[in-house]
Amino acid sequence: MKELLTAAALTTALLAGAAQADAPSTVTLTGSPGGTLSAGISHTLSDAGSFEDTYLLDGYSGLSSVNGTLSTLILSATGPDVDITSVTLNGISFSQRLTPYLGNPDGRELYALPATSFSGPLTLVVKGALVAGSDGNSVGTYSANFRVTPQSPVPEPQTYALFASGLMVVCFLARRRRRV
Amino acid sequence: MIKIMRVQSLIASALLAFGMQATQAAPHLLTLGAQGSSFSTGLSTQVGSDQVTRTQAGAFRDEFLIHFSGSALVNAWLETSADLAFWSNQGISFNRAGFVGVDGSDLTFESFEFGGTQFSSGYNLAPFQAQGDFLFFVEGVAGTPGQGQTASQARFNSFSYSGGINVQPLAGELPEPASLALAGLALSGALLSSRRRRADR
Repeated sequence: MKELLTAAALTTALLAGAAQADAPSTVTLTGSPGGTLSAGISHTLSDAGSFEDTYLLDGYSGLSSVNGTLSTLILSATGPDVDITSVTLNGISFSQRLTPYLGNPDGRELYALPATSFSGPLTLVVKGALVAGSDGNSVGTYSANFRVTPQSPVPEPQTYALFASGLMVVCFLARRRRRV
Repeated sequence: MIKIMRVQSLIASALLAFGMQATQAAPHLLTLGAQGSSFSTGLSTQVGSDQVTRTQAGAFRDEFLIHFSGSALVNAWLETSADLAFWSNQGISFNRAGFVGVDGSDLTFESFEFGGTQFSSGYNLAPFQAQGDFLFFVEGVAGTPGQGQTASQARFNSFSYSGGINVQPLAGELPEPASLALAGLALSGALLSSRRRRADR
């Protein structure tokens, strides 16, 4: 009985400490006649504690080149702070750039994804924590933007080999015809 | 010659002003998220928004309105990115951003290149004090042509930026000495009159 109670308490503690993972949000990428797609998003958090947000970028799921940015900013040294721990797109991490602001070493956070090739649906995961300020307030926002450029697939080496062998056969036949 | 140049520059200014006006829509209303006595909001939403996305190249001015009463400490930020690869640099360039009618509220912009991509961001170097409502504006150019591109090649694409605004209401300001003196005078008048009434009874 004692063991059961301990297990239940441990499970409750683990659940309480776990990041608040909401259902994925579907971000509608805005397309264009030029073929590129983009979106700007933002999320205002008002519950102190860790969070994990998942975004499904909807609008294109083929081969693509994607670049993007995510950032956040504090308002005061004693106020709330959105601390991002990781930003990934299909598992590829954004690079972190922290800038001191109002005495806070990471008061200004920027996460950058340089143009990177992806294949298939795009899933963004943002992990972090909203740290309540010593003034008792806990609200903060992060914002992000993405640019998706569809890519035409680069032929495989086998395709090139097949193309070259076909060309050789055509040349060979043309040469034979000339001789005949 | 000078006159012609003046006329040309006037026409150019008029065209620019017309162009800017043509791409300026009514302010987008933003709702502040709150917890305790602090507020924050993003320029978009969790699912994206047309108010930070453009599908046609050209100069733009976007405005975002926050209804707020009283004075507050405020700051804001913006960010965007552009692929610098051949044919691909079709991003947004920020020209200016800040709060309408609030001196010293202009954002400072910086950019850096990393992995063939240009990242541009803007923010207030320090929070500033202002009185609500707050009208935030963003001016820039969408569809900056890339290397080897003409303006028409960068014309119809999709461009987005994003950002946010923090607001911390300031505690009720202390009344001016003149207001305190007036209140004191009124109170002593009221006390005197009630005392006289009692004395008459």
